[in-house]
Order: sequence, then C-alpha cells, then structure tokens
Amino acid sequence: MVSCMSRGIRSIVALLCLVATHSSAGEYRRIASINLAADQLLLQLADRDRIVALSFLAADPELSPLSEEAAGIPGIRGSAEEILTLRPDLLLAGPHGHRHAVEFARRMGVAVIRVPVANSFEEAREILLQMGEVLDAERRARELVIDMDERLRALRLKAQAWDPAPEALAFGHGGYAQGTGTMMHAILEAAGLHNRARDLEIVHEKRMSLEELLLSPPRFLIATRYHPDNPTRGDQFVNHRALRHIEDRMHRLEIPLATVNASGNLSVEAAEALHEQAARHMP
Amino acid sequence: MSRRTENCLVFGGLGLLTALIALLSICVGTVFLSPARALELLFAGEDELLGVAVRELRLPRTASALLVGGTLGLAGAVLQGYTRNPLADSGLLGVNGGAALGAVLMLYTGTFAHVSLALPLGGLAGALAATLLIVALTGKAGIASLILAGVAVSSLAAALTSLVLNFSPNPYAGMEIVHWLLGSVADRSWDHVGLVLPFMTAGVFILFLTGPGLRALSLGEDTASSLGFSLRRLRWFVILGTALAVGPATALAGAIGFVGLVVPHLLRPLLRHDPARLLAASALGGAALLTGADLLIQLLPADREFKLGVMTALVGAPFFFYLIFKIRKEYP
Repeated sequence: MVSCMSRGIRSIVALLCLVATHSSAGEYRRIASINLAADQLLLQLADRDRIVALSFLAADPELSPLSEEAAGIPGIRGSAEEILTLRPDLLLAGPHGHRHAVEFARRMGVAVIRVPVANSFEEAREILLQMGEVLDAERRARELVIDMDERLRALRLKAQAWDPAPEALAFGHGGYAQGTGTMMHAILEAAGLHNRARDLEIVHEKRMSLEELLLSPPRFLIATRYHPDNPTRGDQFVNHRALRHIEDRMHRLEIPLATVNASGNLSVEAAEALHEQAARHMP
Repeated sequence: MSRRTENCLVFGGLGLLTALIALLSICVGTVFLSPARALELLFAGEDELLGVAVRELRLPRTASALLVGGTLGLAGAVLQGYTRNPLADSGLLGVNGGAALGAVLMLYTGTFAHVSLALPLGGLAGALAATLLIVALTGKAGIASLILAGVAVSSLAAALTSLVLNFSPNPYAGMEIVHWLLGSVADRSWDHVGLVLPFMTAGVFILFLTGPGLRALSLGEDTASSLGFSLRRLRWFVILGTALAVGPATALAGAIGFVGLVVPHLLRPLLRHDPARLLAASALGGAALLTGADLLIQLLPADREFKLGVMTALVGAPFFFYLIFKIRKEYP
C-alpha cells in the first residue's frame, strides 16, 4: 500500500518535471482543462483570466465542488476540435482517456499534463504543490495545503474522543464497498471512523455480499448519491429491504458526491461533514 | 414402458432434482447451514439475523432463479415447438435483448423511481416488440431467416440500449448496466419478485395453453388446421405468452441466454419428442439448471462475483456449436 502510494507520487513528480522546463519560458496564460479533478485545481490555483475552458462537468453542482466558481467559464468535452479553436498553451487532462485529443494537442505544441487522481490526502497535498509550481502559484498552493492540514488536524483532535473508532462501511456506485487506496477510505479515516473494508482486506473497491453486511453490521453505513431523481441500480444494494432489520444498530450517513469524487484537497469538506453527522449518533 | 410410468419417472425425477437444488441453495452463503438448520431458520423470530438472511436474502434469490430459469426453459420449449426449429430460444431471437432495452429505458429515464411497476412493464413492452418484430419479419420462413431476424433484432436492441445509456445523465450508468446485462439473481428482495410474479404467472399460464396446439403443429400446419386448431390463435398465444414471461424475467435477472436452448434439447428424447409434455418438463428443467448454476456461482471461490448469464453462456455456447454441427450433418 505504502510503496504503491509512493510510486504514484514519484510518477507525479516525473510527469511534472517534464513540463517544468517548458514553463520556465514564462507562465502559462491560456489554460484549458478537460478533467473534473484538474478543473478544481485550476480554479483554486490560477486566476480566472488565465482559464480559457474547463470540462463540461465543472459547472454541475452534483459533481463539482467548485461549480459556483466555474460558472461563466466555457465547458468543453475534450475534442481535438475544441482544442484547435481554443489554442491553449497548457492542457490539463485526466490520467486516462481523451487519447486522441491529447496526442493532437501535443502535436500542436501545446504543453499537456495528465493530472493524477488523488486517492489520499497525502497524494492531494503532493499534487497541489506540484501543480502550484506548474501554474506559478506556489504560494497559493502552500496556503491551500496548510489550510487542508489544519482542518485535518482539527478533525483528528475531535475524533480522539472516540476510542475505539466506530466502524463504518462506505458504498459507491453499483454497491461497491470502498477499501484502502480510495479517497473514500481517506475521508472515513480523517472523519475518525474505522473503515471495516480494511479488516476485510478490500483494496480499492469490491462487491460485498448483503448477507455479510446484514450479519455483522458496522455502526455507520455511508452512501453517496448521484441526482436523487436519477436512481441507479447501485442504490438497490443499500436500499435492500432486509437491511431494515438492522436499522436500529446501523446508522445511515450520506455525503454529497461532489466532495468525494475528484476533489483532492476539497475532500476535507466531506470528512468534516461526515464527522459532524456521525457525532450526532455518538454518546 | 407405459406413458404413465414414463411421466412419473421424468416429472418425478425433475421435480425432486429441482427441490433438492433449491434446498441446497438456501443452505449456501456467507455462513453454510445444514438443510435442517436452514429449514428451521425459515420460521425463526425477527431478532435472529441469520433467519432474516435466509428469509429475505437467500429465499428470494432462490425463488428468482427458479422463476427465471423455469420461464426461460418453458419459453424455449414453446418457441422451438412453434417454429419447429431446434435453434429457437428467446435469447437468440432477441426477445431477451428487447426486454433488456425496455427495462433499461425505465431505469435511466427515472420512471422506475416513481412507479416501481415500470420496470417489469418496460421489460414486457420490449419483449413484446421484439417478438412481434420477429414474427413479422419471418412469417413462414425457414431456419436461416429466423436466426437472421434474431440477430438483427438483438443487435438493434443492443444498439438502442447503448443509446439510452449515452443519454443518461448518470456517468456511471454504462458500467452498471453492463454488469446488470450479464445477468444475476444476487441481492434480489421479495419486492422485486412480487413485482414480476403476476406477469410471469399469466405468461406461464398462456404458454402452457399452447401445448395441444404445438403437438398438432408437429404434424404440419395443414394437419393442425384440419384437426381444428386455429394457427392464428396459437401464434398470438406464443407471442403474448413469451413476452409476458420473458420480459419481466429479464427485468428481474438481466439478460440470461441459452437456458431455453439447452433444456428442451436435453429433455426431448426422454419424452418421445412430444412438444406438449416437453413444456412442463422444460419449465422444471430450466428452474433446476438456473438454480444449479447460481448455486455453483456461490460455491466458486471467486474473489469477484461470477455472473449468472456468463455461466449459462459458458455451458450454452458449446452446446450451440454442437447443435450446428448436428444440423450440418443432417442437411449436408
């Protein structure tokens, strides 16, 4: 787990060094992003007049924590044609996907960075600092890191009163239990909860049997929901009627999807919300 | 051997096999139970969580497998009898695909959230449309055009399903539905079973009514007509019965293929190729096969969930190859 994480960080460093030489020629003035996580970084680190476009998801309040800040900035889907029209000098993309658009941008001479996904607060910190360097916003990045660390420390202090930490299980889309190596795991631990998935040795995410959940319910069940009016099959798992029998010993908590997915440092908000909700059920 | 002893042996044997598999399947789960303990837990109190697990998780799962398997086996026997074609099966003919499209439409337009009956109704409408399309496309044509029509309807349904997913506001819909389409009866509740049960009962009833007609039809269309069977009526019974049975079954368990293809073939020689008696036998056989496949899935030490439709396809596809091989030998 640890080695895996450090390898992830090392690859981030390698990735960013590649463009660091390029950026020394002068700071980027026309930056476009085609990835939701990169959108959040850009909105936090760069001045608005340097952002020419964000991903089309950036303005969706259900998915994007900084949707209000994103309002008014053009949203794109990441096609080569859009990139051709916008002529950015820096393009931020996600770790996968948009292969042809990214290749096209590189051929056009646009600097491209594939921004990694933060699966822990450590990774979020590293990505923030590195992106701060790329965007000539080191000070802003450091301030954001300090703010995140302070809030995490405050949470840790508050959660100390809970000993042992209450058990929790979080389910994502399709009813998958969220294990170690996911941001949800980091959020649970930061909120002062013990992720049962760790004991079950679930790495990343895994389908769990309802029977397993029913026979030994954790204290808290955490579900993330997409649009409430847009049900998914995944909801059926946590809404199975057999779970009504353990309602008195398993409390349900819900956190907005926007602060879990692709949020990096902003996920600290999810941890705070979770801690607050859980505290209402603690003695 | 008299027909009566033959019936006793075949139906008694199949019934016993089905009951045995069903009993075993409620013994298996996170905790393994002895059959006696499992039966005892069926009547345990509310505070016994293992009893809740047996009653509300394992039993609806087993019931779903029995229902869906039985329906698919029966529909396969009816379709093979009606088309007098050994390759007919609701999966190959695109009925399952049509039903899946209907169900997906209900799921991702959000209709399902407001009216829970929308899901089986969507499956029903999709299956009905696919069946009507197949009948309209083929009419009295032979094996080749029937299978071709099935391929066309299946591909169309699959393409439209992808289209619905493209328009879904939920970016995770695609992944979810791919998993769902592979077929599964895991985590079903009595609510799910209750929703589809009335439709499936009606469908199964109508399908059973086709028995005498199918028997007469095996002597040829003219003979069947001269014996007083209305072919028009028979056709409508087949269409309606298949749609009512297969549509909601797909809405319950996803698209599961090959059960309707394999089961009638295995049982036909045991019943002297009588299409009428084959119906009940195929229903029992399909129920046993699917419940058995689901039991096997639960026993596999797989880390990831093994999907039911994948399992039936792994058994069914080689069987299909074998059938093609046999047909090639018969009609060189």
